[in-house]
Amino acid sequence: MQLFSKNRMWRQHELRSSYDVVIVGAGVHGLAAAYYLGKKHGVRKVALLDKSYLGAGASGRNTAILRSNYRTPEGIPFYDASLKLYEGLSRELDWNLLFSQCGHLTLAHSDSSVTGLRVRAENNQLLGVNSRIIGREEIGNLVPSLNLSESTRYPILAALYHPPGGIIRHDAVVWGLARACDRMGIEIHAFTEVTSIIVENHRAVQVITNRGRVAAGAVLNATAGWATTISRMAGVPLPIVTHPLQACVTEPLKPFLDTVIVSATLHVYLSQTDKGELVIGAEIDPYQSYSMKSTLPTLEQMATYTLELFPQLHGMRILRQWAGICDMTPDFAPIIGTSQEVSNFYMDVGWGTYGFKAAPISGKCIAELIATGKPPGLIQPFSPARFETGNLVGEKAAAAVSH
Amino acid sequence: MREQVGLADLSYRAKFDTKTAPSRPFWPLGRNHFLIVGEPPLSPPSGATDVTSVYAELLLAGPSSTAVLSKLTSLNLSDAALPNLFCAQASLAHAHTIFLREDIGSIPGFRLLISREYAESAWEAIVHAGHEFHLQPFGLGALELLRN
Amino acid sequence: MKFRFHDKTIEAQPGDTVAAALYRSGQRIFSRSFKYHRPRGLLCVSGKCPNCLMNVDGIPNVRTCITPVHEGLRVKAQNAYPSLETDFLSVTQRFDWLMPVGWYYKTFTRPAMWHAVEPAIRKVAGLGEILPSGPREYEHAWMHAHTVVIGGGWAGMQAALAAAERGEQVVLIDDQVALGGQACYRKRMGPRPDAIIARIRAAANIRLLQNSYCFGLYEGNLLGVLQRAPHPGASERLIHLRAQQTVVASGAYEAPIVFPNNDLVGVMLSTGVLRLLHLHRVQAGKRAVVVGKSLQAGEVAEELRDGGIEIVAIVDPDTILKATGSSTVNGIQTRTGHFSCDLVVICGPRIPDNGFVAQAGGRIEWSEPQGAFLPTLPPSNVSAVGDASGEAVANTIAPLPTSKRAFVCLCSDVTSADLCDAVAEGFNHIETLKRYTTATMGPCQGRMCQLSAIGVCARETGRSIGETGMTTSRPPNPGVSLGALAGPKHHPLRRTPMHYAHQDLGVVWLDMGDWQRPRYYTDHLAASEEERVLLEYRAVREAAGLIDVSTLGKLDVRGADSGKLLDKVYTHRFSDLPPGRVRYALMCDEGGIILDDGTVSRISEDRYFVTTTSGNLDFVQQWLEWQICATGWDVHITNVTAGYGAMNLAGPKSRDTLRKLTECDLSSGSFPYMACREAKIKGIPAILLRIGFVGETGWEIHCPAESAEGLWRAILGAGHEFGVRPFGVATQRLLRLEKRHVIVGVDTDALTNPYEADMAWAVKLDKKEFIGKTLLAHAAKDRSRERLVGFVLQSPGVPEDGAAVVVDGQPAGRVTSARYSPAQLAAVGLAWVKTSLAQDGVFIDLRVNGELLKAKVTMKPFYDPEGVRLRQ
Repeated sequence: MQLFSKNRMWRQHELRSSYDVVIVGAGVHGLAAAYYLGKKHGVRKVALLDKSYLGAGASGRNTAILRSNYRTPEGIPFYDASLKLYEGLSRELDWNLLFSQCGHLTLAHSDSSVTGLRVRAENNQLLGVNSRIIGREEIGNLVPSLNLSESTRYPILAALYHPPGGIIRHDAVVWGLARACDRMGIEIHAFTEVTSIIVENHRAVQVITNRGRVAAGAVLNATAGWATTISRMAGVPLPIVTHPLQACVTEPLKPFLDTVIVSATLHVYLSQTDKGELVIGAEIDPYQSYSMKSTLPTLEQMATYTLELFPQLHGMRILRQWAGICDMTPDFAPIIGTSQEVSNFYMDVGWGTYGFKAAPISGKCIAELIATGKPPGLIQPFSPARFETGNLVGEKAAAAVSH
Repeated sequence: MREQVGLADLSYRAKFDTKTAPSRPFWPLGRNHFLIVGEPPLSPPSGATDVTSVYAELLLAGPSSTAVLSKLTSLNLSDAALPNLFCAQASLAHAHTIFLREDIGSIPGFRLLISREYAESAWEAIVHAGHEFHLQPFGLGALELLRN
Repeated sequence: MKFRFHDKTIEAQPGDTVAAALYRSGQRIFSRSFKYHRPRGLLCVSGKCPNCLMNVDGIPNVRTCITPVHEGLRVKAQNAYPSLETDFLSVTQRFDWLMPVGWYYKTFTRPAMWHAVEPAIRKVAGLGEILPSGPREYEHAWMHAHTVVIGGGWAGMQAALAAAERGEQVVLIDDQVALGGQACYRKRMGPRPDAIIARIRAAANIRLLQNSYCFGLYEGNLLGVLQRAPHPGASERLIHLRAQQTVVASGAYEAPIVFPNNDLVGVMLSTGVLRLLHLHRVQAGKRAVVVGKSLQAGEVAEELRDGGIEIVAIVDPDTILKATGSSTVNGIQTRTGHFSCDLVVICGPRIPDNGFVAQAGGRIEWSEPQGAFLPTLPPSNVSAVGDASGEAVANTIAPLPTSKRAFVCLCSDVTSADLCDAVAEGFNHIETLKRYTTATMGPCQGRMCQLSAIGVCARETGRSIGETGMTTSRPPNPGVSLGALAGPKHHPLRRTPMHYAHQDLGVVWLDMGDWQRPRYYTDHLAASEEERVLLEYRAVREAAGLIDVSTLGKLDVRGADSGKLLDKVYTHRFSDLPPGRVRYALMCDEGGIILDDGTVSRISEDRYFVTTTSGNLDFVQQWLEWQICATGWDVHITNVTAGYGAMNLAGPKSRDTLRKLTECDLSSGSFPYMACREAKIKGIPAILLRIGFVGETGWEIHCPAESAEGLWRAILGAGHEFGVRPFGVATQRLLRLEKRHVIVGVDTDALTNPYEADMAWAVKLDKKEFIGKTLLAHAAKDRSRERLVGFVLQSPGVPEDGAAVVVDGQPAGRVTSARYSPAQLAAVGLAWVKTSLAQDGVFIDLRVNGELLKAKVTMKPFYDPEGVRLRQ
């Protein structure tokens, strides 16, 4: 029984001279791509390179919320497919990802946000995603601790309730996928930083790292916040800007909050882990930066808004705050596909604040694209070419805080 | 007010906003941006915009006025950073405010110009912050008395 | 002084902390551990460990060892049932073999099982509970200083005095009971430096923040400081302290030593025992074994003897096998024998408290000779002095025996064996080890466990401690309450000049950002929103209505280049607008996306009056100022939003009403639609714009804010005989929808261009240059996928805002606004549909309460399509 085993999760390797696929970035996206390359397509001569420890980037810095109640006909089936893969992943990996499908509530404090939520609910229902608008009474039954008083500054009017949404243990996803990859012979190289990519005849032929150079049949950029840096090495421009995103966590409390709470008006989202800590996230910082230093004003804002929703928490202490960086595209939708400039350079980037939710499905789709050369229908709307044709995805309309 | 701190509403005073340096006393708000504040009636300099109705003017005066304001604004209000007859702009209790430092004799005084729609909220916030310093509202009579 | 501990009354002495008073009263178990519910007693007595967390006055996880007693406090233990002494869940430690490190990842991997088990896990998880508590006041403050010194010990006081002598403004922060640091509780350090303390207190340029702690050093030398009980009216005050120089003098704290049963009640840190003894005159035990290296342990033993505690033995950590006892310690087993005692005093490694240097971007490195992580390359505006810099720190690292009872992390019950197992599984980097085992992630924020965890990781991976490195130091550390971070509740409310007039009319408010606007009026009668809106609607269509539109952004734009500027930022042309005329104004970004709309009125040759939407005013002003900066044009923009009260009088009787109050000629001949005039109404100087958002003859009247309430009342008075009524935003929304007027941000979103929104008429592509022109020219040719259309529902019912447009069972658009239209006697609205459907007379399906209903597309207004009424 694995409970008592002390087997290594993944091994360390020397860097080989060539791989069929080199994946830059061993976060959830890179790992998922490798996992499905190995599992579905038998492509196992794969190296995952990461400049730090596994899960050092956004994979270990997000607030681990999963949901599929998106707004657009492009986004909804994509994230729904991702959620369904997540539902089966603990069993598939034989590793409990602690996926708690506790339900996801997006609160509306104004008529216009009720309208925005209704658009989502309607589209979700038409596309078979369990999501609906609920009123104050039902919100109160789901979250008795929530301040539903009408006399607050921003009273809660309604909410979008999405029962299959929830939280998962983000690090566990990284580790579980890494173990599965390792068992298929896929190599994971932590602390291996890519410093340049050599392109010849519109093909990425070699990847140069601080541990030496490797030849690559295909290169996948799955580096989220550092996506533009890696793409620039291959001479592939990306319409992406990078913003910090901050979050914090409180000391453990006896669990009192069993759903994920999001409020776009109050720019805050929170959930309580199985350990009892309250995880609180903010919206992205308004300025562009690669800094992962957290700031006091953002922490104060998160506290202010949390107390709007749960005034009784005033004495709870924040234990730590942190920041991650997000690669934002102009239409708040990802870029998944083959680059137009370099034929074997693939991208799974532009994940902004919604990358973690999409990891399994985008890994699965990009693996299919790399292995077969054909992009699956689910990712076609997210192709890099859309910025030239102008067929943008409308998720930006539902932007602001949309965790 | 002489010992602690007081707050008065002087919104009736005339204010003009102009981009050319006037020939009379003014407060510089920025490059090519000046503010004239005075007792009405005050004739507007040519080209100036009348902003009398735009700003409420509150006067916070007394030895504890800096301590009260430091609970509401991140602006450095020390004598070194904002000496008498200097001005600055910052947020006060979340409302944009122009701070005019104008001492009354040796008593520190701050004229606070706050966009009118925020004025009532700002007044309440100042009174709340001033509790521990026994802040008192005062009228024009007391101001006259203090000046003499 | 007395306070309540469960149902007991505890006597306290002046200066007591809650924990000291409880200890004196005989309480030994203070908490139960997180995972195994093992009994835990006092350890650090300085607020740094998790062992004394209790619920105080309703607030959970309070460090009772640094919480002063107040008369009438209510103190309760947490995470223990039925009591601290007997906790049923302590049975879990018998099953620790079932719960090796990471057990929850390796079990219940089938979703159904996990869903069944998780609620049970959540039932026993967590620490404290929130109980009802009285109101608490939290404050914010801002301070500025040349030099800030964190820590009022010997080194900190010296640094503060030196800076003060240089003439600098100094702030000295201290979180201890009294200045003097260790000297207050370590008598062998010598007497308390009273002379220095007196000099500090006397220095005019040293501001002393006592009972305060720094919790983070942020970018730009911004220190977050938490001051407890700043004055009787407030419980906590968060000070934002901006410094030019920061001196970290936060000293060193003691950490435990790892050996089996090192968590038994009665095993305490030496500093904890000394603090109890000297600060609170409480003997932690009668017979003590002191664990430590000879010199350090000898000194401590001496001091304890002086305090009347019998020293049974001094034991070298290298020789310890385990502590004995079931819940309370009764002895120490060493290689040489067993020593009975009721107190084990640990002389642990002293950890320099220099996380602030790391937060500021400084480098922290392991120093082998000193046995500590020390700042080696602090940033230029931060320095460390005293113990925080490692000055008097010389640690010998005690062995870290692998045992399932040797606790490294007390917060989450992680043992040295757990850490070894985790490293064996491949979590061999300190950051992954931390995340997998959760060591260093609990309430002690790594203070008690970090060095030991690094030590085990280093040994198991064959690396040095220096190579293993530390985890990232993250603020806030120590933790800080949500209440203090949020501060006082200053919700600024923006009130229009007619605020109280609305209240008199029984207004129901609508929040729009910080503004409060009338939604509709009740006249203080009980009636539904629908009824009141219909009443207001009828008044506007049949007589006249008056609405407060003061929240519109208003900009006064003057200067020779004003027209040029407006031509550049808006899609329409304004340089050719004759004085006395008004034009609709639409603003787009470089991508041709609609940003804002409003009106531009030319008051005189060189003066324009620009209105914007309420929410976008600041943005529009900045956008304009930015253009001026970029071009150097002669334009002066003044935000006069607050200076004008604004109201819109609209309806067939509006002219008759206004005529009673002004001499201005209001006939359409001399004051036509889309004209503007300056005139006096009831003696009040005003700007009148003849525009018609709601589709009736009407004037938007702007007057000085201080006169606005008077004018509002005067117009309602004058209109009374005609049936004029005030109306709110809810009614306005219906009226404008009948006219098919678009509201930016309601009917458009962050990707809408004017062509899609059917507003091509507002874009003048023949203008030489304006923002967004290139992409708008593109969009004009290439009719895009979606268009905004009007619709009339063909059956009863009203779609809700946000309802879906459905084609072949798939979402194919959305309703942005829909209302029942009294003019059409059916629901009307605006919706986004595919361009192919954007034609008069096409039928579309709308989803209303789950059913599909037919609606007919129209590209014309639903009311007075030719615009006859508003020109009358």
